[in-house]
Amino acid sequence: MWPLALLWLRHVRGYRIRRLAAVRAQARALLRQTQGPVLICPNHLTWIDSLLVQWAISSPWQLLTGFRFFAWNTPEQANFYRSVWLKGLCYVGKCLPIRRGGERRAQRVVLAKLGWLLERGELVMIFPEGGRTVTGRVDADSMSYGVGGIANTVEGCRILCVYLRGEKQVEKTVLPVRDQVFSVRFALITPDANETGLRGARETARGIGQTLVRLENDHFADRQ
Amino acid sequence: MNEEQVMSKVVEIVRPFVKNMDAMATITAKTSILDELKVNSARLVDIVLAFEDEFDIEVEDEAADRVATIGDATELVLAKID
Repeated sequence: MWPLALLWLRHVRGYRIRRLAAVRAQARALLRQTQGPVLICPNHLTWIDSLLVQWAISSPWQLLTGFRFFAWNTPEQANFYRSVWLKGLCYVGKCLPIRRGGERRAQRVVLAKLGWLLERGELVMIFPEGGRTVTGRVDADSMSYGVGGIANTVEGCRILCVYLRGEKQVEKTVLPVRDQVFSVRFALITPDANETGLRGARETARGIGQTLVRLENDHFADRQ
Repeated sequence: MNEEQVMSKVVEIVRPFVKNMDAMATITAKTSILDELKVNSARLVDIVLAFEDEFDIEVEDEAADRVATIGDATELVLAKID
């Protein structure tokens, strides 16, 4: 399925990732640098961000040698579980659906599963903003604290913050416009919350948000 | 502190997170924090932590999960400060 997705991204939609080889080399180096679980936290502007991030961080060859480099995802149940074919895609695409604004107990079950996967060396991708950003810019104050909770709970967990943005992307959309070039930036951080429980989760989530804001500022500074 | 006083404080704590200010005008114990006041679900944690600070209590995750309405929040606080 993944090669088909890549064909669609590259040849049907005409997307490109700027300096893809260098981006992947950096991602490989960062992932190699970590000896434990890695939680991937990207910014969120379109419905296919998880595909774009996956494309950026690992080559098809790398996935052939280790499918663990294909990250688990948490798509919004209302958006991605509407039709049989979307459900099928999510099933083969290592997805655990979550309902935003749903019961917190149900959300905690999903987060616990993700924690379990992280402990077993799987890559897990969670969009810390919960949904696509409304303003088109990262809002460090809108982070979902569940992300911080997982990072704090899983021993040795590191967080790979990913900032990905298409050159024509102004605000949130379903799909990025065609024939677009994406820029990608990474920052690897270690959760270092001083507090525990919900307060610790909030502290770590805010740290993720601030890192994404910094990456975003770097992105726009470079463009100028 | 009686029920009315606690509810009044609960409403003041929730207020900064409310997106549907119209619903604040007719707020009762039965008002749903998420559905009617349109508070972002992720911000419920901030509200629970604010309860802890304001009333000097500790709220377990399971208890926090049961908070759906202003009345639930008031009951939770009353049970903890009693």
